[in-house]
Amino acid sequence: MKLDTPIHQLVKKLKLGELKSLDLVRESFNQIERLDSDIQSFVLLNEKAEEAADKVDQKLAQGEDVGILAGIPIAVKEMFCVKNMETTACSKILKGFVPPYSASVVNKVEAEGAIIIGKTNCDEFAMGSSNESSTNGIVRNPWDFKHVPGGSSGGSAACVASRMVSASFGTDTGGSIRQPASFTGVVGLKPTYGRVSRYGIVAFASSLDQAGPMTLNVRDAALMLEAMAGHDPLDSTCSKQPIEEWSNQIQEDVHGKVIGLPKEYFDDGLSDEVRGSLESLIGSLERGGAKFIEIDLPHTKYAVSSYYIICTSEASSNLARYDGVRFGKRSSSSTDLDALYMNTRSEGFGDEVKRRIMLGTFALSSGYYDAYYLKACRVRRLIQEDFIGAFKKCDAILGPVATTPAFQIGERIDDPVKMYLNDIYTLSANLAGLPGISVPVSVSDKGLPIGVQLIAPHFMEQTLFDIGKKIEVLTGWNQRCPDVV
Amino acid sequence: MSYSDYESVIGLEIHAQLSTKSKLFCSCSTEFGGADNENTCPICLGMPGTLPVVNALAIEYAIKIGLSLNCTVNHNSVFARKNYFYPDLSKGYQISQFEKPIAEKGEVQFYLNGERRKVGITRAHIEEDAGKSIHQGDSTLVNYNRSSVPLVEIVSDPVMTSPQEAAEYARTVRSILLYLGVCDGNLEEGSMRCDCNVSVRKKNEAELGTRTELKNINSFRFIEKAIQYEIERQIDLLESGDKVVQETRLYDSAKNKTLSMRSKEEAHDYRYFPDPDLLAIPAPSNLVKEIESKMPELPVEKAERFCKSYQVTSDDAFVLTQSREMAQYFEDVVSRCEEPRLAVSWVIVELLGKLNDSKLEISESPVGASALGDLLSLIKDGTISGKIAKTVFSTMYEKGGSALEIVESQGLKQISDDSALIQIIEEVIETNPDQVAQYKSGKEKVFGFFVGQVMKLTKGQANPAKVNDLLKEKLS
Amino acid sequence: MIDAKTVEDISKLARLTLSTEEKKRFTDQLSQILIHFKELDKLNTDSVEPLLTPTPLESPLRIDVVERKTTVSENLENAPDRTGNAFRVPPVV
Repeated sequence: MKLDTPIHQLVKKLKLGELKSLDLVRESFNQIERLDSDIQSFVLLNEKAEEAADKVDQKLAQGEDVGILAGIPIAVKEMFCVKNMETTACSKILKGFVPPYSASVVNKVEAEGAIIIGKTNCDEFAMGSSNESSTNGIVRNPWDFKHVPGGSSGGSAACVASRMVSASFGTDTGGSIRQPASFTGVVGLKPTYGRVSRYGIVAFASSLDQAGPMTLNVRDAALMLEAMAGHDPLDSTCSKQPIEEWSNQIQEDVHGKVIGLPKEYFDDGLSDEVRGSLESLIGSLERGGAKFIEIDLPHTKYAVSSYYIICTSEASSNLARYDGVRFGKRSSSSTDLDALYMNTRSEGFGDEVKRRIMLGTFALSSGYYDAYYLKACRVRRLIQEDFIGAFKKCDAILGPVATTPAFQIGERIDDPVKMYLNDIYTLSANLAGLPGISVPVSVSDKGLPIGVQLIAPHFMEQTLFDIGKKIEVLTGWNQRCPDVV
Repeated sequence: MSYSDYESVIGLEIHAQLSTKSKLFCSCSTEFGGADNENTCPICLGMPGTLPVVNALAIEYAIKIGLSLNCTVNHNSVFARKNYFYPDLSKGYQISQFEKPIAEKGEVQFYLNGERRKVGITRAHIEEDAGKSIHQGDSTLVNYNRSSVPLVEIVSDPVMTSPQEAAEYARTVRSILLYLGVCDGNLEEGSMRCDCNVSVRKKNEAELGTRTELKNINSFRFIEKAIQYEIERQIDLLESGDKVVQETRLYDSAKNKTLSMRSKEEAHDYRYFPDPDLLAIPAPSNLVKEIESKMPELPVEKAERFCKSYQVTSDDAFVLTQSREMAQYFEDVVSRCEEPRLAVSWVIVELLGKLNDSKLEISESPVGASALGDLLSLIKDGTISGKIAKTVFSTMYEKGGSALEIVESQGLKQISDDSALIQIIEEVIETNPDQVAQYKSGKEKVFGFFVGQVMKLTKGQANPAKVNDLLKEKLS
Repeated sequence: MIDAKTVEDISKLARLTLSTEEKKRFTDQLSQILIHFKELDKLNTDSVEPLLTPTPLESPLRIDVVERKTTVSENLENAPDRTGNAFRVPPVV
């Protein structure tokens, strides 16, 4: 199966003419047809994909340099605007919205020759950890259809895991790339805040959102980042840090690397299976030459509160533009403006979105701003300082991604607090703006993947790829596959 | 009851649209008067995923404004979101500044009835404008051309005490903005908007009364009238036992009244918080100093300098410094002819008179400053009289040409030669024996007749002072 | 922690209409969430500067040049209701 091949090898073959992009795209659509009625990872397919693939093939045949992702089929989360394709953030309120622009990061990968296969399913407005709150239906975990794929980038994770595409984009605000990557056995990277442009990505929480790749192996993630990253004059929060040749510079040797283990992450909340997986990995890495130290991230227990206050506050403001005036679905028959706003928004937003908007509105409101929003921002600094202190003693931090492997569909949906607590290991990296990667390491007794997380200092994605690659080699994961594929 | 038992407390919020070419957060044009939504893009329309990027020139203009108002300019001032719902607000929030504005704690000085006044400036901050909604039949139409145009909002301390003072303050601020070249100050078109906060209280009462905010005032005259009306309305209310409601009121210039806005007045909770899509605005001291070094002399300083250096009255100085162009013109004339007093009267009376009649700005004047200066030099050195100079000036204005050319080609030189004048005077005396007799018998008014006759014979070119002296001599 | 009246006020601010059932459910859920948030009170943060943007970034400024990115027709393509090239909404009461 071609889409099982690592991207860098595919690109080589495509450039040598041993393979055609059109064949890859066709395989992609066949796989989607075969599996996606069950998995539901896609919400929209790109009718122009074959045409685009053909163009790339022609250019390649003429020896043109098409780019580092020449001819590779990728999927894009429904949070990314793609010009002339419906973009809904999996919400009713954006039904029918066709943007006259693409997200900058979409433009970048298309300029590197990638072919967009379609838009993937996600939690509405990226708010969720299980992909159970999309208006486009639940996404199923390809490893076991009774289980969630994780969220909010559930569709992006599932389609890579089921070999429907070579790679996908997700967005990660509190763990939405890393957690579904862990639940579906793929690699998921959240870059440093500011590494990848946010322009054209439907905003959830502006100071936390980052786009990142989901792939079958670490080297592909590095290659995808090369295509996605870089300064964008349309995003004031996008860094001018230069793009590095991460994929070519991967150093597997972990001798001398010091890896920190936060004692707060290895508490009672962690399930035995995940703990066991981690401990086994730590042993292997030690034998590989890495040194482990215990580190202290004392403000970890405040991270969930700080995160949920900040992200909902920003979201309550970011989602105010969805009012039915200029785009999106307007509620019919409203006789006055106020009714228009109320009806459009009440009909258009799902429960989780409403809940978060209300929470954020509350946290910013007069009389509560200092105690909630401002307080949460101060705690955020303390959390970041914990990491800065830790990185004085270690090169990277290793920990779990989630307390358990993928849970069952419907298991946690009725308890928001429990759902929020899911993100305990991932959201600190978003608060601190640090890059984090999820790498699959093992499969549980019940046949569900377990991943581990690495966190590095700002702009040190190379460290994540280096150690991530070593983990890949040590565990012998070698792109393990769900049975249905 | 007398209105004079009360005093009023007035503060002004002036919104100045900056004359940058592009908008504050996107590259759309700020040009006025385009077709509906012609100057819009996904960013100023608030489409999903779009982000703001600050216009560097707008920041420079804002710093200039802060400096001209003698404010402290804050390094790393913060953009904040002001959240509310209205159709002309495309993102559901306005990007403005709240806790740390770009400039604060300044002061403006001006003259009111000959007295020097100082009004404190609380703050000046930068923000984006909203679009425009127009009511048409049973719907509202929205045009976002104005959405995200850069504004600087200048907030005065609430220390003004009369409508006249408020209007004069507003005129001064406008003049400063025009001097800086950062705003075209057009109240009618809306590139400058004044909102007035008005409250009243009994004299000697320490507590401030409830204030109302007046909007929709588009001339300085209306500022005075609106505030005057509102002060009286509030006093009437209080005197009849009612309370003043804190609200926004619109000024109706046709009826000269302020009217409560019909919509329900809800207390707005704007939920200000720092905009996470933007970074702090850098205004380090070296940048601020550089901007300061390039700033022009401002109107009040210039007027004071004119009074001192050129012995200009303060009323005249005010007229001359109304615009940078006018002041520059005046100074160019003075340096050319070195006669400030002549320059003052000629610029203010003769030149401005003609410009106003032909509806031209000083920059469009058909007579340049050096040309006028040359004309005045001819008066100064006696080549022509002031009266003749007026006709020469008319010719220069209508047809062009230099003063000297016109004087020579039309033979308008003043006759100052004694012998020539004596000849003419003797002729006039000879041919008018009756009037001579009348004069000699004591009718001094007849003197004017002789002057007139001499002027007639010399086609107005006789040197008037000489004619006077010589006539007196000859008639004695 | 949070009462029904506050939930109603917030929903008005956020332009959301809630059914009676939703009001009750959200009041309960939000209360639970806010109870959890209370733990932040345990931290003394008086001398801590709030962190807004988590990564050190250079401030980008845009040069004052006009550039047209999309056409009027593209911008109005998604308008739910329009009159000519103006967006149309019901009247403001």
